[in-house]
Amino acid sequence: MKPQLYQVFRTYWSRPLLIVIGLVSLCLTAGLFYQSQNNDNFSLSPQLKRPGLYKHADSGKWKSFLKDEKLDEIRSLSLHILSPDDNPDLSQLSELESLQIYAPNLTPELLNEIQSLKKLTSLSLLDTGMGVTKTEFEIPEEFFKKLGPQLQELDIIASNRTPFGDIKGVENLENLELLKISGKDMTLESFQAIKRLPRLKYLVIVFSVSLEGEHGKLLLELKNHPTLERIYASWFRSIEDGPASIRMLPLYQLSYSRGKVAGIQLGLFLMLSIMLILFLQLWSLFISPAAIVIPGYAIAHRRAAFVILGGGVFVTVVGLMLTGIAWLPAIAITLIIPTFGAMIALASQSRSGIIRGAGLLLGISIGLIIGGQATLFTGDLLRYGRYYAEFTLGDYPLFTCLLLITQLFVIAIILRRLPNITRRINERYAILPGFSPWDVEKQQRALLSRGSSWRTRLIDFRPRDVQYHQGSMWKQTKLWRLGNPFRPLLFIVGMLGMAGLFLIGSVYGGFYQTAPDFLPSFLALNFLFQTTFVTSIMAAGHWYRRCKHLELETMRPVGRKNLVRQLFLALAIDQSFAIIAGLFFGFFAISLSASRIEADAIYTFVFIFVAAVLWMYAIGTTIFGIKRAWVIWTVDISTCALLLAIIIRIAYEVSGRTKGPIAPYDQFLITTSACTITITAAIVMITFMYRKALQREWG
Amino acid sequence: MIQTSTEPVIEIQALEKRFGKENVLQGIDLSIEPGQVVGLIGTNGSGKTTLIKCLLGLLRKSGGCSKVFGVDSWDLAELQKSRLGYVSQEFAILPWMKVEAMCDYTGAFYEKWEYHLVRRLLREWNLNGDKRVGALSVGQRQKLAVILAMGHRPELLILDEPVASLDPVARRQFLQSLIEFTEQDKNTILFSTHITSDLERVASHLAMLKQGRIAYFGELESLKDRCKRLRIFSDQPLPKDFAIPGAIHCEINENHALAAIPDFNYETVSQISSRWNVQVQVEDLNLEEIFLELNGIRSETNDAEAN
Repeated sequence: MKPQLYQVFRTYWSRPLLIVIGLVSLCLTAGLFYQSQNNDNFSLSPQLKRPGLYKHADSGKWKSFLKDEKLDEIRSLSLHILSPDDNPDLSQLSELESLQIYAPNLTPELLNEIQSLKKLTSLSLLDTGMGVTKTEFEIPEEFFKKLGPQLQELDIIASNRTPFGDIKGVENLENLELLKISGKDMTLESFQAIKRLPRLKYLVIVFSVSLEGEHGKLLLELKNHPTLERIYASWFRSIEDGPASIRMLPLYQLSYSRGKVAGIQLGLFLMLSIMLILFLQLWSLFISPAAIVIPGYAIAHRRAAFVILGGGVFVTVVGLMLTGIAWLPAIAITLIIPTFGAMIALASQSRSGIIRGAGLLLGISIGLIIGGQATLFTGDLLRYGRYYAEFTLGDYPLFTCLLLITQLFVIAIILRRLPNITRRINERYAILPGFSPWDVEKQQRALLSRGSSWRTRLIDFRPRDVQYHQGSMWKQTKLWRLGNPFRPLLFIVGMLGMAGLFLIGSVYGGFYQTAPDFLPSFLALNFLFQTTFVTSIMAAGHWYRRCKHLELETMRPVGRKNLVRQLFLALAIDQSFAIIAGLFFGFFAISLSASRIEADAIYTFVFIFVAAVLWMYAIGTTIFGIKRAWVIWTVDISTCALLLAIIIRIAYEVSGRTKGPIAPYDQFLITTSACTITITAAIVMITFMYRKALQREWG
Repeated sequence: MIQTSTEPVIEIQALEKRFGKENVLQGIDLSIEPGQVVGLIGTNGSGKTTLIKCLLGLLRKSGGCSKVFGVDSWDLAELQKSRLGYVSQEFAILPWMKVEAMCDYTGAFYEKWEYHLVRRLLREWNLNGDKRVGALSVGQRQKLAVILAMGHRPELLILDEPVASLDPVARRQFLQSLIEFTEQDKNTILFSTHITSDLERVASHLAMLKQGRIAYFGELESLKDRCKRLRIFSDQPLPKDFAIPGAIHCEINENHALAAIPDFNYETVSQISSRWNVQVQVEDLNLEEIFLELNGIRSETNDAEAN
């Protein structure tokens, strides 16, 4: 068997495309192990707004700051008071909406200056405790009374050495939605004042609380607060030891390991690339007559697949465990992608058309949602779903074991049924996938011989759609598009329908009560985002397959230049349907956050969207300029990686000027730079591919 | 459509095509006049498909010149393409479409599409218009490809092994349609094939490719007149230095010999007879035998003949 296994492995490394994906897998593995060194945490709690132009200043250079800067443009300011005697005049900052103050002591004079800011809605007070003239952190009641109606966000940070005194009068902040309190301890009176905040939505507590004592009782009273949605607590992990009733509170983890998040994302992508290798190779080998004729063919391939899959799982699990994820969830997370791959493969081979359709739909939908959320939006998922965070820490062993058993069961079935599947593939599919190494002209004969299925009927066109067009570029492009079985509009409508169903299902399915604005919007947004992405990929994929056999069609009465133009236009039209999903995505996002969204954010969104669509089109055009699949993949992956590296570098350069979270102005700067670079790169790529396509040999 | 010009439809000069280090076409010269039916033959790998693809601008030439309707092959425009039809060796035509829809779809690209001709050919060649293209057999798809290539009544038809997968009935129908195609409008055909009997039936000219070069181009009948087999008998064993000038090969077996000569004339026969004192019998060769002889393969064994 060993020589046979060796021969099977040789088929893997003799395909350049698999080598390219293998190299990507190696990079992902390296990234996964590198992330295990990452000890950073990121905050999951809501951040204070920093709108418009954001500046840093310190009291030592305050006069020159006032002289040099355009004060009426500054809307966000971070101010460091260097000495307790410094008293900077803030009255000239008439447009200031967000202020962060780092002061050794919050003197009455300083508080008076803050009170003079009429547009202030977001305030962060950090008492460094360096000018120790007192023993407790105190803010006079009058201060909050005066700021009462205007303040929406408040962050109070006492130094670790200074316990909180009374922060009386907080209840006067009648429009406060976000309150963050950090310090050593807090009096019960202050805590009770918080309870009386009429519009509080998010409470962030970064100090120790005795859950069994008075603090615990007061916390429980927050359960009945009319507007409070979430409490983020630094002692999140200790609620397991507290009274059971404490778990009824909407408690969420304050921070999470950056390494774990990146590890999960890289691990999932790693498994995806390994599954892709297996799929491409097994499919293309099993579809050949050799799969049936050669004895033991499937067994050898099954062993090879098992070795590759097992190796991938082992590496990923080890990588995830090194980032701090418990071993059981690490295995479960690793097996997500293989399980869905197996589910889709099993469903697609079922004899029942209903099971085939339903299984495929289910597999793709769940894969898209969970895979997408876990890979792209893990941070958001953690921010809202505490169970996810607990799961990664190994808190639900029974659930994890059940999940693992299910996953292993599905994978075992697919491995066991591989010979049967081989036979069925041979019987039913004569067509090879686009990336197959076999050069055959076989078509979907068996499949299409069964007569017209609803799918083929759906894509049939009427004779009047194919009339001679008298040289019209637009109509000729339409003709080329009709030659593809891909109907982007139908696809988009179907996907949007599914997004709607998920939205309705999640609202009426009970999720809405446990996570107010999380699941419905999150699922729909995710779905729409992925629909945009998938539509672009599918359009390019269909054109790639068409181009492989375009020899005869290129002899139709179209000149070389016009042919290339029409093909480029056809792809652009097909991919442009992705914009529909993108627009839904945008409007949905805007409607969800209508109260907080600003014009800048909409412009930024449009800019990002244009850049993303253009870039998707640019990498799509490689199918016209380049013939070989592995070269297309190499070019696409490497250009995407290069672009990403440039954008990250810019972000690093821009954000490197500040410590902590990136200011909105810097975010805007990063976004516009990244979008400009992406659009420029896309235009260069499209031009280059157009020129290459003009020189392409279609024979 | 009637050909109005007497300029060559296809003109190739010193055409070269290289794939990496492999020199597939090594200086092809060929000129095909309107109305000619040219059969292109050659062994596997001799460059027939490459020549056709270079001619149609599907492959870029490495050197030389290739023109169709007086325009460089690489730059064929709408006008030239609308005047030619092409059947590829490996054709993959949109499998999900129905046969009739495929015909309509192809027709939409052409200003003049003969719907009646296409329907007639579909009927005569037993192709079901409601069937999906992907569900057709290889032979049926080849028939469809030929119909699609002829639907706009091209002046030039280029076919790369069009009958390879056709049954004898379909082949006969196909050849008949080719004859009609040329007889009615004086159209031009270039087609490659390995079935020499088909060539003999329809071709007026023959182009033989050998190792990337044209080994012969001219009228088919002229080739047959020139290429003969000589059977030589002697009363005594033939001497060791016995040779026939210009023979492709000469096989001596004691007192008789067998030779193939590409440029036959009766003067040669009389010279051989008088010089070696032998009897010479001249035999005609069919195209397959000529092809084999010209490619260095004996078309008939000496022993068999002796018996």
